[in-house]
Amino acid sequence: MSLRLRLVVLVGTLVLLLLGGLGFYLMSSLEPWAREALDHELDLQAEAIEDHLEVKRSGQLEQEDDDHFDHVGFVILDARGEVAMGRGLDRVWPLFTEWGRPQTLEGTDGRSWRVYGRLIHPEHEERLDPSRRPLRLIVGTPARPFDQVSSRFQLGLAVSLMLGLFLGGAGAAVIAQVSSAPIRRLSVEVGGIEVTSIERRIHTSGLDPELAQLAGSVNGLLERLDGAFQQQRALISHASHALRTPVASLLTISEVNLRRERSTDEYRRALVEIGQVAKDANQMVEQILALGRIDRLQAGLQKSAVPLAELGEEMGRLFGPRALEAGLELQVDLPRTLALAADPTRLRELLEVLLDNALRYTPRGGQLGLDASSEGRQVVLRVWDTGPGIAAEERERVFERFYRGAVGKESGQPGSGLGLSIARAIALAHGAELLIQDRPGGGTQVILKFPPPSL
Amino acid sequence: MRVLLVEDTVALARSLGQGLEEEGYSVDLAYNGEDGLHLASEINYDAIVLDRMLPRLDGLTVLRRLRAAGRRTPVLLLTALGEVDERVGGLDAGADDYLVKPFAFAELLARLRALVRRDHGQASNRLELGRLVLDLGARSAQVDGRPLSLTARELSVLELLALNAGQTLTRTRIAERIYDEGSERDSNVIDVFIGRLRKKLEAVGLPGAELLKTQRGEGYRLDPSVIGGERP
Repeated sequence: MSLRLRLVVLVGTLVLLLLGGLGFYLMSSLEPWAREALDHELDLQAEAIEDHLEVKRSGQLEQEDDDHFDHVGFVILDARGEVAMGRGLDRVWPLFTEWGRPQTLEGTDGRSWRVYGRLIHPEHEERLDPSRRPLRLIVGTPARPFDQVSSRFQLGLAVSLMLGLFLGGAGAAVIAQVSSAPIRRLSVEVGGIEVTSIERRIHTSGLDPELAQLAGSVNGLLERLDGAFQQQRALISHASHALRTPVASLLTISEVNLRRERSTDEYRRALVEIGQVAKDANQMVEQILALGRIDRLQAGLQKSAVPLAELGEEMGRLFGPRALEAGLELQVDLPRTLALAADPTRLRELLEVLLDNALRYTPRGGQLGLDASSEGRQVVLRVWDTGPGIAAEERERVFERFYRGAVGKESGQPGSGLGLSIARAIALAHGAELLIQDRPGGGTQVILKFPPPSL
Repeated sequence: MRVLLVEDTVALARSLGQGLEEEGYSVDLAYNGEDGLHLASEINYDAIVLDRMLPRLDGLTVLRRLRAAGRRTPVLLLTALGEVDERVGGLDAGADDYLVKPFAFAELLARLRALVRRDHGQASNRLELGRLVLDLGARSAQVDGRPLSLTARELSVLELLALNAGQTLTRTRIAERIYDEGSERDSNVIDVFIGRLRKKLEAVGLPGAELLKTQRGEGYRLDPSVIGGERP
């Protein structure tokens, strides 16, 4: 239901309830009130008739100022039940039953009458034949005036109800129109923000506080989306740049080697080279994808108790042969007693990045290792090497996406500059701290401080 | 033709170097900006192929310093950054041409030839010296329309002298252009090349000794006027 319709219905219901309720209340209280007034009037009339009633010497009853009582009918009965005097009530009084209390009667004329009867004592009553005493008076008046009031009131009520409904509805529509104008403006403005113009913001100046709050929320949402977008765009742009070099290498190797006939050995060398470049490029793609996953990392962690000794054996199997090939000594020392609450897949990914770095950049004849210790309730993992180390001024920058340290770049080793960004993101998702330090005795050590497992 | 290649990606640098050498260039390799700048300042290359993102000193800085030092060697900038701003920045820093990775090796060769040609004031790859015609693109020599069979090194020496026709080039200068840093260099070898060239030229009826003149105590000079070419 539209806001306007809702407002109209709301105001209409309010008008209906208010006027209807008021009308009903008035109606229900008006009727007894009007009846009371009528009854009082009848009583007064009865009194007046009695006051002006006189018994002549002849025993005849006489009414002074006869025309005084035009609007009421009355009848005076004597004790024998004969009509002593009367006017205008012939078709009503024979139905009369209850003395001393006003009553409503349906006259034989088909009209409704209010009738009241009681004993009276006219002046010089003693002149009356005793057998005719006491006299009784019945006064009556058509109940129509009251009905008229009531029906006129009902008409008025109906008219004012209609008018109220119409005016209220129209007013509500206007109010809705006026008050929804800023909403419509806001909606047009929000609707105008495209994927390509996500850096635009909604103007909050001149907006009502409630709408300004809404606009503020929308702006906040845009801010977050914009940030995520830019990050994504930067990732794509970096990724395409980073992938251009391996592609250039592949193209050049194949083109250069195809320019002339060569020996089988030369072709084999070229193919091996192509394979190596492709493998490096593939690793880069994997890391870019991993980086794309990182933003969803925290929610997606599947933690379990990871026995460190087993993890160490796995790393040993994975990196042992590579270390041997690179002329390096790998020392894995993870105590059987330690375990970590972590996502085993991610933890493996993290250690692989760190060990891979250590292996890549440590010169032949060096050493690298993985060990662990507990400090209080914290578990501390350490990946170390005897390589060239990372300069102090680079220790923060190496965590930036696509940043490659001087050692990395100069090594001529292909690398995406993403490994440590991934490592840090995984550590952060686990609430762990990742620090790069100089290793005592030369080289680098990366410290991973895991928080005590939360219960 | 001697070329300096500054590129930090080993696989790319090696295959580019191999390809260029097989095309008859002598190639020096540098894997970082500092080494590249050092070599470029020391040696008079015919062209420099310079990667933009390099360790130690980035490509643009190397280029600016070279130009600031008054080096006019043609530079072909090689890079993964292909946006207009990047290309403009590269050219404004003093690059003569710009090639975005990934590129076709054939295009790199063509652009290199164009750079060297332009550097010598040549409008086309065809170098006509009377009866002798050199095609720098196809890397071939013809005499009276018939192909002259030369080895890559002999052709390089002939091209060098032809591009600098009328000028006397010292043995050291010629050797510098023919050999890269790694090679054993002996300026006497140049005399051997000249001798062979003269013989091959005479075999097809050109006055070898007059065309490739010995300037005693100085070096060699190519004089196109003896074979009906214009006097430079």
